[in-house]
Amino acid sequence: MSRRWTLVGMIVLGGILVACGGDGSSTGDPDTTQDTGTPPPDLGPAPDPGPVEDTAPPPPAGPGAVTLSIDHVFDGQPLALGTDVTAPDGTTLQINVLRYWLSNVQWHQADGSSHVVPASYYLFEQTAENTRNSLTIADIPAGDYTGFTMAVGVDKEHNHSTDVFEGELSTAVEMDWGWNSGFIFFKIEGEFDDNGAMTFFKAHVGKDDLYREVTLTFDAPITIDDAHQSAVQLSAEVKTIFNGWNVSSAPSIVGGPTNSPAGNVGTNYSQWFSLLAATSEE
Amino acid sequence: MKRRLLVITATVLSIGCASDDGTANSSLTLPMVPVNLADAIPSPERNPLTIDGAALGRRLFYDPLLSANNEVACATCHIQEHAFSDGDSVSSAGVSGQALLRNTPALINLAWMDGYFWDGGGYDLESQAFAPIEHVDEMAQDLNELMDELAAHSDYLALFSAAFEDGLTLPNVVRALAQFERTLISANAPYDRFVRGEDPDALTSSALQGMTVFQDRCGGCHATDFFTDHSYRNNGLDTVFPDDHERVAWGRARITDDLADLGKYKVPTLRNIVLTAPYMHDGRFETLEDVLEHYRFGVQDTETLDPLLRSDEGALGIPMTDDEATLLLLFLETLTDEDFVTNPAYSAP
Repeated sequence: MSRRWTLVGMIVLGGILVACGGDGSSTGDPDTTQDTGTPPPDLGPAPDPGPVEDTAPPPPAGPGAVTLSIDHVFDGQPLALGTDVTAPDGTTLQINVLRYWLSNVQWHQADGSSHVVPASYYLFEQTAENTRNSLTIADIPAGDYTGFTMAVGVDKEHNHSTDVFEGELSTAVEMDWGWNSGFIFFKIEGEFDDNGAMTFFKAHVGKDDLYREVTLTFDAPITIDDAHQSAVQLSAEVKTIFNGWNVSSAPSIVGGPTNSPAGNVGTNYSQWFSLLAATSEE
Repeated sequence: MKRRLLVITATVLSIGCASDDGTANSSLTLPMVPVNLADAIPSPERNPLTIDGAALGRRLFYDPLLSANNEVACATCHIQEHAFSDGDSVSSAGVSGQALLRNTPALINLAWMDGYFWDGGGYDLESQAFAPIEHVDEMAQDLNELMDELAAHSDYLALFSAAFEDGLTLPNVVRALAQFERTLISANAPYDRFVRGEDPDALTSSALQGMTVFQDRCGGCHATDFFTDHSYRNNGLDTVFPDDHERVAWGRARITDDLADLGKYKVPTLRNIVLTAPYMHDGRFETLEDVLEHYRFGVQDTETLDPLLRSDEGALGIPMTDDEATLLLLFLETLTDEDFVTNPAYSAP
């Protein structure tokens, strides 16, 4: 279980970490070259500088938001449903359904602390009915963030009682099982070319063992606060899902565990993300 | 409407159970299982048992609105006079008319069970309830449509508001059903009245002899006054466990992904057993005589066969004489709880 930080504590910490001079950085020193042969003029006594200015630090920046978006691709090209693609083993496939739970998102700061996003359970998908491949996470304490962690699937504390609808978790979205209480972590369906006949295939993968955490680190920290627009863009390479999976010999994969075709899919979805960009603009 | 929250405490039933070495414990002391709603039924913290919740659950249990064609209710297959089973080997009373793959379990003393369905794949009553509502061969309901239909009934809106702070929600549908199901408590059979000392004549002398046979031969698995130890065991029904139908024939192994659980199914309660034929996870035995035939002569050996069904010498099954079998059946009749199967609190509202 991750540590929980109060929002106030994070704001204080964020305030400390706000980079000074982040906006409107001062220019370099003015050119001070002088003619060295001439002594400086006598300017008289230094003027009275007047009362000392109030030098309290500026108020800390407030919490911000970050948009996380995931480009679904197959072999580097945008995933087009119902279109022929080639699996790693040469099988011709069409993908019709891609759906997965992302959860337990944590944003990591340079000092090693992390902000755990409460109730972070999100359904990402690309189907004929709906595409949802981005979300904006708000109330992130102001700070410089070096990376993030999220999981594919649902943690076991939330995966045994499907009447607990935390975040977007729900049984009304057909991403859970009745025969074995729990959520379907990853669902992919389509057709494969079985000697000329396009034949249905599916993998509905879940169960506690196949909960997979992924951590991605940015090339450079991004600032998340109320003065910045921040975005993280990933790609998800669907071809990776088919590594080690000969669809024609295993056209129906359901469940877990680790040492099974389902487990192979789980290994693959722990490796299918790549970081494309992490940006922060004022 | 004020909800009355109930104390959540597990009721412990201490009983004499047969040990493996065949000796019966003769001291039977039982705190009574409460039949009213005011006491110690285990519930999860998120769904305490309340009178309003249970009443709403009963209403939903008997309402065919929960099915896609508005013709199939929970009660269609869970029939009170059969102790909430249905008298079929496997049902085809669902929306599609297709036969199911497993026997409809009786609903008796569910609050104390460790897992639901024959293989324990339903982890709690709340989660379990989604499965039959959605299954294409059971109630085939789309859950979003269900919510629309319930919301269109002002009486359901009022009942949900009375039972739950957040009123009509999808989780509260299954929570109400779970609350009602936890009230289905059976512990007022002649056996119970005898062991509680309420009626020393409740068991005939033949039944008493049968009880001794029972405790000696059956009590290792059908233990305690629940008449089950709530475990999962392979009782020698099959030697092969095909992958068909997404491994439904693997039994418990389909849930645990552990091949050591192949062919294991829940030890069902024997309460009301004469009312819940046919028997076993697929309803293959029509009569209790068939069941005893199996245990005496029909047990098949596999790696996962329960050790209690294999003697030290390697003999399979449960030995008993014909007379003992007859007495045993007489004893099993004393587990029929007429109050349970006629209680209006469990009937259609």
